[in-house]
Amino acid sequence: MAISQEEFDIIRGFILEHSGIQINPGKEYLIENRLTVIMVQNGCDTFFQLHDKLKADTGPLRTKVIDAITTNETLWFRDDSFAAALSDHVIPMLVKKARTQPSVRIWSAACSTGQEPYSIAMLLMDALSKTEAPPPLEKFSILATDISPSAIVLASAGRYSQLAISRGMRPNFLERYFKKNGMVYEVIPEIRKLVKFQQFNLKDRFTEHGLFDFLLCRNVLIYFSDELKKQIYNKMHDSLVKDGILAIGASESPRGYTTTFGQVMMGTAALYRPL
Amino acid sequence: MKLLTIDDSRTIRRVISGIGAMVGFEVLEAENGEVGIKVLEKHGPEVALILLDWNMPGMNGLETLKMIKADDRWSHIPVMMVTTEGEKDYIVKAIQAGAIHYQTKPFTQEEMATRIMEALGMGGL
Amino acid sequence: MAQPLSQMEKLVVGLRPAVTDMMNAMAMSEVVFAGSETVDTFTLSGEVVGLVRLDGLVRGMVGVSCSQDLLREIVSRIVGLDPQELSLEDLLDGAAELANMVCGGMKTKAKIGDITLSPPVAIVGREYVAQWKTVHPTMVFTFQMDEGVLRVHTCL
Repeated sequence: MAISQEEFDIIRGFILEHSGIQINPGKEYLIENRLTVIMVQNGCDTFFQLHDKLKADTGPLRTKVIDAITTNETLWFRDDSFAAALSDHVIPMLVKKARTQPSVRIWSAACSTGQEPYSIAMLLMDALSKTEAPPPLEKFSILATDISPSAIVLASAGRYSQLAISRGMRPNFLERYFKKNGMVYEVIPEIRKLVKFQQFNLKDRFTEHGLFDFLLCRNVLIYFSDELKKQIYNKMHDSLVKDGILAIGASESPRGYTTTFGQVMMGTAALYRPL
Repeated sequence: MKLLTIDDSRTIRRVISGIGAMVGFEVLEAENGEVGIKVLEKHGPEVALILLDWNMPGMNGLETLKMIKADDRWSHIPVMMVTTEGEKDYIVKAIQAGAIHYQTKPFTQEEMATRIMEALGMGGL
Repeated sequence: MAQPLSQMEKLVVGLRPAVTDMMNAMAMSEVVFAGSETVDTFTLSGEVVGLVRLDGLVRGMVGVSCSQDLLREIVSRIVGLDPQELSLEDLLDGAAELANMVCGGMKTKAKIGDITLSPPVAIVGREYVAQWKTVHPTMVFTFQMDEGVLRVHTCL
């Protein structure tokens, strides 16, 4: 049984409305693959029936659907131009700021299972260990958020299998910042203490989080509608301090959605500053 | 508490053991339905979730599921099917026979970890 | 108007995404489809092959073959162990499971209903050419990875 055009439209409309995630025509398989189980589990024969249940639902089913649609997959920072831009430019800048400001705040806005915020914490600790008279580590804080509650639970646990580790973790970081415990590698407490995880929908208001010196929102907005992209770029702009930095995916650009960011090249990677 | 993976492929059992460790569980392994029942007889009270393959030599996953659900000693243990069979008919049969969740192979580690947490009622769901 | 696809054609259409999905999800590896050819015998020339028999609406055989080194690399990525730590039994099981996942994915994507898959079997060896004489021609699909070539042989 294949999903009908009408069912596809009604379900993708619901997902767009509640998560901002845009599922384009041609991606019928995505809904079918990911949501058939939820449909059957909830005693529905068709996606129309599932939609009726979703409309009546106050939370749990809706969360489950959004969790199934979002792809929880991130990598450690590999030795690429983005990682180089961080180690050579962004992190030194943040360390310098910590010498004169009471705190330096970083936000990983779609952290998935935690690889991005932990990678930043490791780069930061690594930089501090190489800095003479470094500012105290306590000055730094990383907020890590994701729409998926399960991703947040996994991320907070900070436990990774050998396979998850083998996807890009540098051997010297593995040795320094993880503790092997049976079959898993656990992020050491010093790193975990730097990161605070919280479930958050990018559609919601940003103001409660305050201002940030560095904001990462990589390869997420590509799933959102143009209207929502505009809104989120503007909210990110307002969440950055004047000399803050925004990191987005290599294939992404704020152009066409906002004129409030200017591109800065750091090595061969493009980052953005609020104008 | 532990997870129990019943799958004839040691590759898949290993992958699931790694993911189990990620979510904080030790994983017991069985290479077919018959062995799975034996593991339950020995370790039943410690098992929090059973991850069950469909196509296995001997008793298949659906038969194993029915057997588990028919036995008062472990009918309460949630079962998630983990199988290459992804068609709706299979999903319906498994859910009707008492499976709480259904994950198709192939899967990413993050996907499987998320499904395990859902099946265990963790993760705020 | 275009002819509707036959069941066999639907399976073949499902094959390519089945292979790329499997490699992406389980081994986090990119594979690129590098072409297909039709031959008149079911010949397995790789060092390792996983085989699954299909029965029901479509009957036939699907084999996944590659070099032993490539298989070692793929299985090592899937289970997260060093390639040298893998035993022969690990490799056999890995090859069988690859064939199983390719066939399962192909069947699900083709959505043609009643097809059953046999438990997979695997052969590991060197310098052999396995050959089956078949009623139907065999299609060989080649997928390129950084570390070598993976082939899927279908005789449906």
